[in-house]
Amino acid sequence: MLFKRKKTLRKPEIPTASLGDITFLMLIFFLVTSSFNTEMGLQIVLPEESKETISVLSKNIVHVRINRFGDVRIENDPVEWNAVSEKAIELLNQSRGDSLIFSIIPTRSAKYDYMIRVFDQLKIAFEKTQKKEKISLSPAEDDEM
Amino acid sequence: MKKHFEKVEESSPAIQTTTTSDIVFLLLIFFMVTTVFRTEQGLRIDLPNALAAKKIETKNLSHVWIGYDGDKGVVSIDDRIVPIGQIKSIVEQKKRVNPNLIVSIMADRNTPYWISNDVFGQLIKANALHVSLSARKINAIK
Repeated sequence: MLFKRKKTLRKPEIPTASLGDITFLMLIFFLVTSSFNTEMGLQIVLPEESKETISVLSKNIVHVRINRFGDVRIENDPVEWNAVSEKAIELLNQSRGDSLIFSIIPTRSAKYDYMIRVFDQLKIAFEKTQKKEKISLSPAEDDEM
Repeated sequence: MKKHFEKVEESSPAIQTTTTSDIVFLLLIFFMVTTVFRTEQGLRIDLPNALAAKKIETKNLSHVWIGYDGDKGVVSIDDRIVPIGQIKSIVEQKKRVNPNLIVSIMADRNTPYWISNDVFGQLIKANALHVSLSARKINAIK
């Protein structure tokens, strides 16, 4: 018993000096990586409600009709919806002087999505040709097709 | 006993300050976890996809949610379902408060077009002409 080794009573310790550094790094990490949800959308300016109608040369207007099945017709030519931008670029390049105005005319029971995707295609066409964007949303037509 | 009372500490009492940062940190975590930002719930909708979708400044934005229930259109502004005919007066009010108002249309992709058509008509009447059609950004057509 006399030889019993003296017990070392030192408590085990974890160094805590660098803890603050770790939390600070974490803070920076989350600051950098967190992103507030941003909204994406297609901007459009609606026409003013005016008493007098603005006369536009009808040859400068391109009518884009969408029926309730999502079929697209540009000036009565049927076009696949995902080929609308190509067709629009073609028309924009052909036009001289005043740029064309694209008028989207969906029917009443066409899906909103059909209108958006055609609108999107036209936006791309204007972006690619770098012309001033002229897209108008016309009042819906009755279904008859 | 007397001797015990006589003993007066001379040194100024020191409060442990090493742990205050821990306390502050805990408080920070607590408030981060418990705070809920007031968000507009809107309607449950499935946004359309668009390639040309761009980021929109949320500063002057006001949302109009468009959904449908059978053949009927459901329009919600500020988490209240409103009849389509009343949109004009509500938006006019907003336009007076903020003349730079941009109306964000959050419409379900499957809504019949006439509902949004009527909403646009109301917006034109309210002279709120800057509109953003909300869409999910995609990079390629599937």
